[in-house]
Amino acid sequence: MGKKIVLSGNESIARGALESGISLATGYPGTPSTEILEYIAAYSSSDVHVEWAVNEKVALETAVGASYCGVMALCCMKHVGVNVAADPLVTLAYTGVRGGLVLVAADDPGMHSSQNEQDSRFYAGFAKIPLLEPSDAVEAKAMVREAFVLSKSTGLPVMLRTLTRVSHTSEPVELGPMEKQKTPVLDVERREWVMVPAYARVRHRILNQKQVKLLEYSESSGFNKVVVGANELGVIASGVCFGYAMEFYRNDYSVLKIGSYPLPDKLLREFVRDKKEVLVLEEGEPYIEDMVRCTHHNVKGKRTGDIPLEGELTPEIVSLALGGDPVIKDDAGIKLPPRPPVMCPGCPHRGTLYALKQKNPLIVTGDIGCYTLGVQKPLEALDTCLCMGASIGKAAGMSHSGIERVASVIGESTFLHSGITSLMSAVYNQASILVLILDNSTVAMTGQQPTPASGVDIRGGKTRKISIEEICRSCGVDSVDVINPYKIVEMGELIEKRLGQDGVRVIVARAPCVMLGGGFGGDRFVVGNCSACGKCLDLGCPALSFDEKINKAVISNLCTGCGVCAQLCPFDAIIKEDEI
Amino acid sequence: MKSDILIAGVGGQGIILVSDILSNAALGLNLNVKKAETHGMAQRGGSVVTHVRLSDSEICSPLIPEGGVDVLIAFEPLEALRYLGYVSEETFIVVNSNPIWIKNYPEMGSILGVLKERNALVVDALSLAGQAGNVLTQNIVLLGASSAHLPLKKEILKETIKDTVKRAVDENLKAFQLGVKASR
Repeated sequence: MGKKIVLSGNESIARGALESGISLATGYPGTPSTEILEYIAAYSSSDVHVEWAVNEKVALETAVGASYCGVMALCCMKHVGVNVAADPLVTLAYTGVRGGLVLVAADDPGMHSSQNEQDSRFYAGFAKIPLLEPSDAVEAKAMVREAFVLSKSTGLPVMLRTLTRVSHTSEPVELGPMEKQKTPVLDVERREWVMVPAYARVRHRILNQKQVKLLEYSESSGFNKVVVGANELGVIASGVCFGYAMEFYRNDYSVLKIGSYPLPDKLLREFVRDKKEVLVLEEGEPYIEDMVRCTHHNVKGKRTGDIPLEGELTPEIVSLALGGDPVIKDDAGIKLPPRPPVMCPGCPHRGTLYALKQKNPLIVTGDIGCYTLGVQKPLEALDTCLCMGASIGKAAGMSHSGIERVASVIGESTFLHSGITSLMSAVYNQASILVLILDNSTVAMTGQQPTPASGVDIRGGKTRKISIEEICRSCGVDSVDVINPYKIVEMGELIEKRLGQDGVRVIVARAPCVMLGGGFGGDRFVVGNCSACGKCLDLGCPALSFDEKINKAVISNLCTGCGVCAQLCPFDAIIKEDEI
Repeated sequence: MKSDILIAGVGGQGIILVSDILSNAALGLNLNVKKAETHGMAQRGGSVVTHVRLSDSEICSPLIPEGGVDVLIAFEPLEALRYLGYVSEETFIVVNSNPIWIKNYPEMGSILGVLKERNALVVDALSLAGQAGNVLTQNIVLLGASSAHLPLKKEILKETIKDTVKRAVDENLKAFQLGVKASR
């Protein structure tokens, strides 16, 4: 038996890929998928090329390139990243792959850290590729290993759908031996790889012919298994829901665990045939449920309201659906204020967003990153957030609709991910917008991963550094300013000046993420003779609060010493600790 | 044997380190472990909770069913209240008395009143961590204070702390010991 160590689902996926002998691993950071590539970067030799790609589309295309050379490639992203990678993905099913290619899509039901809760299984069905769905970390490793074998044998990319609760749940996992990497072989076959209509028509037929084999695989896959109990009720469960189903299992129902897709039609029919009632437990959309509905008259699930259509499943929801008693909640009768995530004390975005708001843009289109938290009170500094890179396109659309004083806010990693193209489009089509690029040298929200603008690669090595302002200049914008976001007065003046001008104007607000640990020279700030005006509280800094008992603002030990509040205080009452 | 441990607090308080120590210690004893963490956006000063399940038999759900928690370790008083739904009359609660303020924070006396009606031990982890020489060891103080109710011997926990924490090993061990003392 191999050694056992505690691994999260994500780490287990990474370990499984390394044991399979991958040569390349790529992806873009996004919760809940980020730790997969971080583990590979930390625990693989330099024989494995591991990287953060600039976005998910590029990541998948990079993995395709490796796979065409006959080596194995892993590509990781969060569920919404698959939208970005969908263009190569769907046609990749036509061209097929050579070395195994596994695409990990990490779904986030309940939206712990996401803008939607889309279900990646539809993508696998849409692209007509196999999908495996692990229920825990141990199975995740086994499935990644099998996914590479399956990818190689079918010549198709295989999707592994994980969930927040699978990715971020740890358990002891047995380590296996590492297989050797494959030697790259370039065996060019243009009729397979060049998807002009004449060749693509043939490849579409071949993809359809493969479907029979995929179904046969699912029908006999050990990842779909029956736990035989009482026959009245049949529970069909996938992913983490299998764990919930087994938590309450006392031989009083039978369980069909689904782990391999396309859905095994025969197996499903056989399982439900002698059941009086069927309950389907799955995260996301009623994907299995809708198919089971075609074969059984009494199916409970998301369509019947027994399981909620939105949000993440919990043991309580499953227990209730299984006929358990509701848990009586003991809330002690005290109203609990929510504690949502906030921008950190000392965050450089706080000054930028505050200064922007003071200058009254008519609308601020926002983007995806820590700064999205600026929508909350008291800043309420941005008005839209849709998807990665959307801020600039939306701003241009508003400008073209006749709205003036339009500003957009986008982080530098998001700008590199998918903001550059919209900036070019805005310039080309003569929009009149102000674009604030918040450059904190990192992908902060997902845990400080490096970006192409930080000059460091995923393993911490030095690499080429891409200049945000040079990109903007080469796109032909009307002006580019670079400013320190902690200087809020200068920032405000600059924003005022640029908001009033025509054309596409870019301001790069540049200061490293406070989590990178640069610091501000040590000294914290304290409140001296407070006039109780409350202006400093407009920043929404977690280190600042108002103590009604003493009628003054107070600064807690969370203070990093960034000094933004001190600049804001009209009475100069906020001073450095050592100046008292 | 099974022990379901819920660790609640605020992002950045070192919850994941404590859950790592628990699961590594349990692995050393060949116990089954499942540890479900909060990552990502919620870590930015938001409310976070980690479920740690230890058992000598198979563990199915990564999440502890409500009402099933054996030990609740709360790094912050308000966050202890937020997870009362997981607590039963038998649950042992260790709670740090030091609040992390937010707007409309309930009156501290009423929070502690509710907790004291239950099987709760209130610990001033901030001052004990200070005594240990590092205020960042509040998490280990609380681990020490809950250790009598965990299925893991103190010596094993101490060994695991040594192996798991990267920095300030002596301060962490001292913090653990001060936590143990506070529970007596």
